Amino acid sequence: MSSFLARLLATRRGRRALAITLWACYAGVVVVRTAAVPRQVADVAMFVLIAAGFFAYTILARGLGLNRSPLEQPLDERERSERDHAHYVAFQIGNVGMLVAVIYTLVARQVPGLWMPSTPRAGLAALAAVAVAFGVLPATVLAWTLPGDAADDDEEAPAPQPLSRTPLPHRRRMLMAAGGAVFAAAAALGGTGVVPVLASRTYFLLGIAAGMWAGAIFLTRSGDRGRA
Amino acid sequence: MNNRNRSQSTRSASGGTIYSRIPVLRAERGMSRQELAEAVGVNYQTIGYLERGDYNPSLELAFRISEVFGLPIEAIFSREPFAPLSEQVYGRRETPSSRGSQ
Repeated sequence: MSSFLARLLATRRGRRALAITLWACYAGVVVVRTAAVPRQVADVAMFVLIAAGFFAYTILARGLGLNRSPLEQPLDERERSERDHAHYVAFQIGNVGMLVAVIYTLVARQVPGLWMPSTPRAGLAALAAVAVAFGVLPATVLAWTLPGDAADDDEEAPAPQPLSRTPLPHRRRMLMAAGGAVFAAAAALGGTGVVPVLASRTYFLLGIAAGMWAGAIFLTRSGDRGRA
Repeated sequence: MNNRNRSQSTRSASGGTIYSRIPVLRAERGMSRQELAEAVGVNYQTIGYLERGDYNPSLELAFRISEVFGLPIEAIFSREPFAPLSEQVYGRRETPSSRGSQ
């Protein structure tokens, strides 16, 4: 990954911009799913928003050391402490969010016009939205709270190192690429109408395939425990 | 919000600050933060946090630092602010006028 991203992650403003991008994509997906957008536009918009959100999250989680490979040098005790605290804060925010959601469902039952998941599909989408929100909260909290390098009064501070790709065992990368191929094949079967049940999921499957390939090719590298 | 407030989460549960002599000891030995960080196996920023009192080290890290400097832990870390060197050497408190004349 580029040194531009490393410089971006080294500043508090850059990290916050990535976190805002991530949540803007999240909100965009919710809007596209719920608003009356033409199907073709919605599919493309979903693909772009999910890809952009995935990219922002990957950069944040990688740059902040949240998804560190076991092949890499572990974080030191202060860094672990900061990440533990971010998880703690995210958990507290999640608890409040769940409480608000429960109160909302109680109110929405009584008040006509308020949205409630009325079909299993809508319920599943709401559940997925909650799960994703929970998943990205720690990275967001960390991005928001970590001080920037500029705040450090160290004149000898080394320049930010370009983000390296995550070292993974070669076999795991190949599995990831193969998984991407499976999802791409499923998308092709749906898109061409060979398997009609997958037709409405073409862009979704293609998105997963793209994510897995991006992970296997651009975001990771084959590494050894000794050299990483 | 200043650094101190920002990093409260990294302090001890009791909220107390551990003061350190790391900057003085580093300066005496001509050691950069990066060199000390490599010697004790932490990120260079962690040394800055320790020096500012924004992070309280674990006992293990304190021992590693004391080994690098060859001093007992209590010579490096304290729960009370260290007295100025001039006071310790000359046995008198540093005054604004004496500070200005240095």
